[in-house]
Amino acid sequence: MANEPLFGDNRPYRKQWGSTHPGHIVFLVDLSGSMEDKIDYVIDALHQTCRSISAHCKSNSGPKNRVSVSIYGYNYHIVQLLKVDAIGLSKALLEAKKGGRPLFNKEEEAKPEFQTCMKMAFDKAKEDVEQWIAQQKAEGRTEIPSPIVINITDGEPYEGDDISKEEVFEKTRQAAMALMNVSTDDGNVRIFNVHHDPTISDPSLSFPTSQPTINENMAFLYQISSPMYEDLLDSAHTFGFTEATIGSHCMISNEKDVSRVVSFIEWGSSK
Amino acid sequence: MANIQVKSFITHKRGETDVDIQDSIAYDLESGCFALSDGVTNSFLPKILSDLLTSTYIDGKGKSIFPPPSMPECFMTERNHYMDSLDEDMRLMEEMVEEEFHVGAATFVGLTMNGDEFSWQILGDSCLFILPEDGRMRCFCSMTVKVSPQWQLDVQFDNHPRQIHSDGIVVGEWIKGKRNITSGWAILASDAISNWIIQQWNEGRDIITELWNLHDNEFFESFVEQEYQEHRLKSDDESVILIRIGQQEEIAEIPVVPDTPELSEKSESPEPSEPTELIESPEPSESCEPSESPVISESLVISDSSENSVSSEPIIEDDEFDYSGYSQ
Repeated sequence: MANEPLFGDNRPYRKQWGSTHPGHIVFLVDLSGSMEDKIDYVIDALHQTCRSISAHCKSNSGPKNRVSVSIYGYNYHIVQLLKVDAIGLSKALLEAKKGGRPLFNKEEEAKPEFQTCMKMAFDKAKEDVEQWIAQQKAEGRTEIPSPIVINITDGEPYEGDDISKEEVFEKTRQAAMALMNVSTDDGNVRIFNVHHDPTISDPSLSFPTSQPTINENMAFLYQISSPMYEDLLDSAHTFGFTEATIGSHCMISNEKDVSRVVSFIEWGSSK
Repeated sequence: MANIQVKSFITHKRGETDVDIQDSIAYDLESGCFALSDGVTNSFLPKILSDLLTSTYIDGKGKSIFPPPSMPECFMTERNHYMDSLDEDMRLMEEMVEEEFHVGAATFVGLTMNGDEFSWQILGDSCLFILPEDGRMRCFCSMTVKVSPQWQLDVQFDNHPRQIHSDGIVVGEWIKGKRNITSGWAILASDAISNWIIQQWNEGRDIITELWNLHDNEFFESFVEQEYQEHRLKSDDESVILIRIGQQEEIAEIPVVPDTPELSEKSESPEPSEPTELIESPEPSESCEPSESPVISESLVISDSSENSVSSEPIIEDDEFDYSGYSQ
């Protein structure tokens, strides 16, 4: 079952990210048309998060491969925005700095358009983490930290007008569960969800401890969000998510405060 | 003055190399000063800061204001010197790190011996352990330390930052204290190995003897790797200074350790010199030049024999354990 510890000692997610055992983060970015008025700060948040990750990988002798990063945009298809190790990330940031531009261009590769085909994003993330785990094993690593997937969206999953909403939720949920069931000896892949929509009238919710009943999208996000473990609890509090507790699900929904969206993304990649 | 022998070890995170070490250790047997600083990985140029802290503490001989008011200026001098030495790409990468973290940060443990009196100042999760002849390990650091009725230590290594920043800001409160010790051990250690010392000590393992018997830094590196592989020690920079305090005849029973471990690039063997009387410095050190930190780790007896007539009843005043959070 997803998120159940695989260790006999019931202590998953203890493997440190470092040069010996690099970590891996996958960002899934909703690039549907409705993201047009949000894409600027999402790109800023990703850029800032990548800078932070890169800075954390800096040592006295230059960048160290303590973590690798994949970023995929999704609407009706998948766009690979970035897939690099820490050294590659430093180089990408360096090129952006030299060019005086952000990591991604909202008019080109990160252009919001079309629908929110979230299922294929989880399928892609599963392929990515399986590939990454295989690579770690091929490089002789026997202890592999569990990857983290952060999904950033402003909407609900969509698979076409001819498929019912319930069916879309179920198919997408199954894809997310399949992703969560990918595991290393450190534990299962974890999915954190950030849902941001300043226009919605429903209340915001973060780190819920039981399935919300406010609306079905919130319930869906709850089902596909991993529970909090102790490895990230202190940092969640440091980032301002004082409501987070062990076992609460790592999601924010209907969030209207942009700064909390940014903080969530930075927190999720702070291990 | 107490007789002491000293050994020190330092190594890097697993999978990295000596040049990546961000801890700094230094001591000066002549003045009886010992310093250990753990550069915070998620900060700007932590190694420059940790080196600066240990060298200025040693330079101040435990008498000057620490950290000196000139430290931010000294850090900037070192920062500019380092940045000027980089090619454009590396400089831009460092600038990104500086924009991210703004300042360097480091923890600190300083210990000064004056006769039989040991005084210390500590900030952060690096620890000072004192093991007097009563066999009860004391731990001093910025975190809450609890002691069970069976005298087992419980230290919560939390994520709350208690650090010295390169701009001179001190986050957290200094833990200061002093104690007379005529025999036993004082150990300065960075956070991961401090945690390991506590856990292993609580399990009854004689880790002090194990560490003391390590031949040199290469043996320490192997030892750390083994402990890491056995999941007892976290991957981190690991640095430790072991000070054995005892009478002359006790010292004579300790096998002489033949080799001196290689430490950071600034560590050089000092020229032998006569013990000098400590003179209180009226002004803090203003020099930005790091001192040549003395090394370390051969067995040394630094007192002269005339001072060996210390009472067999050592002065131990537990009310001198003046750090917050201590409970028993």
